[in-house]
Amino acid sequence: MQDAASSPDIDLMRRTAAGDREAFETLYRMHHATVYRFARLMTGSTSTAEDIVQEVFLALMRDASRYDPARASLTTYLYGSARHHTRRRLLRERFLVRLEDQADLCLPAASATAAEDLIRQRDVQHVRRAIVRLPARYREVIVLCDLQDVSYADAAQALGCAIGTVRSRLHRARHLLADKLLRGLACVDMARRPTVRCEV
Amino acid sequence: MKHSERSQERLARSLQMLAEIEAGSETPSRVETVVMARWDAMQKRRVPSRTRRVVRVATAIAAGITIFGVLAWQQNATVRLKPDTTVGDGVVSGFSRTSSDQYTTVAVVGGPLMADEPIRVVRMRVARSVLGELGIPSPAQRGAAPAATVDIDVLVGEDGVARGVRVPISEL
Repeated sequence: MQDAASSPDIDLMRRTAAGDREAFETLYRMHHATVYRFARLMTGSTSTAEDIVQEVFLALMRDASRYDPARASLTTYLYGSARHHTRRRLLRERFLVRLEDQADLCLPAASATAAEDLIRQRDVQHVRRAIVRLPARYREVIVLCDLQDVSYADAAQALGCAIGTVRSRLHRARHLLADKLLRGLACVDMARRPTVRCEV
Repeated sequence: MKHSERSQERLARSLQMLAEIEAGSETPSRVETVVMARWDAMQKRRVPSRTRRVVRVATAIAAGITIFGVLAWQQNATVRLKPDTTVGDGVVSGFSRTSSDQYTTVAVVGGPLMADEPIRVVRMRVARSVLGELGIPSPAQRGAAPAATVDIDVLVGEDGVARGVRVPISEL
């Protein structure tokens, strides 16, 4: 866990609460990517993630004076806030059908061959979809612990549960995810298989 | 290797790959622009609200001073009865009035009026002869031309009993 007492975040938060624009800007630049990645992985949408980043930082500028460094580090606080806004957003949009913004989520061409790129892209897409389809409580732990490298203790603080709960959810989430991926790949393989017609 | 172990290994690889890709993703700069614009707007709104608060406090103080002034002025304008002299054995007490119409008070019932004793004043127009009955010598007796009636103030105590009569000095 980050040592809250020695964090420069505390000073920045104090200055932000006092209305220091520069301090808030520094805070934003230090932490926006963390919030953005979390929101993007949780929602599977770039545009929604952008909205959530805005909402989280608007809440931060409004409630900067209420932040208590003794309770959690700023990163954990921001994860908690991002989680809250993500859940609210997902709840509000549960009846909407999302048009997936795949262009934004595509993998940049970094591999040696185009074929490798395609395979990687396909795999990553499957993982993304499988993560988004997980129940929220399992998705959160996968995103925090496996994709964002957050410690169990910090994840527990951000999620408001015990470390043991994080461990058990993570275990369950990995199994669910592996199942979903297997099923997803099986579906892809079935789709590729040539149609065999029965002789009449 | 068991099937589940293979799938877990594959999952771990996929997650690592996704984490690597995600590590390079950044929030678009337009989000920062929007957030900072909101910050500026909020700060602008915050400044007038402080001014408004100061104005509100100043208005409250001014209103308080005005109310206090009015009350003080009213208190000064109120007729004040001050104990003046005690005549005789306490049955008759004299009170002088500071207002311009120059009345003097003669207590006729009970003990002397105290300074803080609550009383009501009832102004009455009575026949001059009443003054004689109260033991006040009339101007006629002093050789001046008397008027038929005279305005006197009856001082009524809290118990409803008349405690004194205030007579214009000119009639004495």
